[in-house]
Amino acid sequence: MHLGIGVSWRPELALWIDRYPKLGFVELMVEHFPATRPLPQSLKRLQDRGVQMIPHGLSLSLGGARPPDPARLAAIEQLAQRTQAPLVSEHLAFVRARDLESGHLLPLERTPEGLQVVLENLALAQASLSRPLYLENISTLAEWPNPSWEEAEFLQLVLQRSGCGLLLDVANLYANSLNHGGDPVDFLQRLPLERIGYVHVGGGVVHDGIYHDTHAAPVPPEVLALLEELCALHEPPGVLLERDENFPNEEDFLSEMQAIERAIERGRRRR
Amino acid sequence: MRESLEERQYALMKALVAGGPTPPGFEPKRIQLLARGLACKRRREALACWPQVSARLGQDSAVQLFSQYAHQQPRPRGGSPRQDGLQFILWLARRKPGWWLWLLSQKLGLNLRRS
Repeated sequence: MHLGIGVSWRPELALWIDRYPKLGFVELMVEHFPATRPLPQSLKRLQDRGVQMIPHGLSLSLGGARPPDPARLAAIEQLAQRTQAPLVSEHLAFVRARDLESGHLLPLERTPEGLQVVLENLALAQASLSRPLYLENISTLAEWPNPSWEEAEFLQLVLQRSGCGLLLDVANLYANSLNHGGDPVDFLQRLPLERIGYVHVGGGVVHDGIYHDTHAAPVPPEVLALLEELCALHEPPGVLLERDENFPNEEDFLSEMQAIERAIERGRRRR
Repeated sequence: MRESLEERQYALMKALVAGGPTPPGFEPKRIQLLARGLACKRRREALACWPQVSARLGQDSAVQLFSQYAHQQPRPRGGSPRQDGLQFILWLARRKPGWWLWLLSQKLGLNLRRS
């Protein structure tokens, strides 16, 4: 599989994305593309250009205590079929508990019980999806107490036992290492890198000594350095920029993409 | 097994979005920080879906009223920001009936201006 360089598609970035010549793939937020509405013209043009599309879900709550919602799974599957997606992706997280919704990805308890439940949920999800499912590591400010495994080991166990692929977010990896300690390069070395489908790269800000993964700022050099490290160890099939707010102008967008291309190239030369 | 996991996840969720106590073993400061971040994100997303509401209320007022509303009502089931914004407008309408007329005018596609 080859994806190349990608961007998380947003209407605010549509024109820049459209004019970016090296584009290999885009990610589409499943919740933003209900089956009742046609795909935007701009996406159809990308499809004609041969740009690959990957549905990316936010609200499946795969690590939640309840089984994944069949309607949400159907929405992912439908978007995958409409866009002829090679794969789909979601997060190793939960976003709801009983009647409450967090609206944001919350961390999983890394215990045998937590593992068992997420594996059952993943099996259910995989059974209703015709494409391989890739799981993303999240960043979190609060960690569950007394974990049975460290994050890298837990992630590895989930991937190994579920057969899912890995969507590695290097910005989340950086955020967690800054906010909870730990060496992100050591973390990389403990992951099954050959299972990576693609990589997320995004920007954030440090506020009161805490790194916030906002996707509203340029990608910091530390995150690009981590991308370079990864590419020196193993080049992933794709790398994608996430920018959700405070959208850049075309020049800044292009320089973000160029910074990513250069980091990949630097890593490649070290191999 | 799912039940006991749900208990723990629900306790964490309550602490983060419904003013519940910090569950045992979590760092209270981090929980507060995360709870604040979630509340901001909720408000930003809901108001972004209904820009007309912030325009009518003024940005500061919209932020303040939304915080009051969010304190009383959690995100609606399914978590849709658009639905959350609508729930906010209904909350406003219960305090100031003028919002009913406004909502109706939006529904009918009318552009009522306050004169």
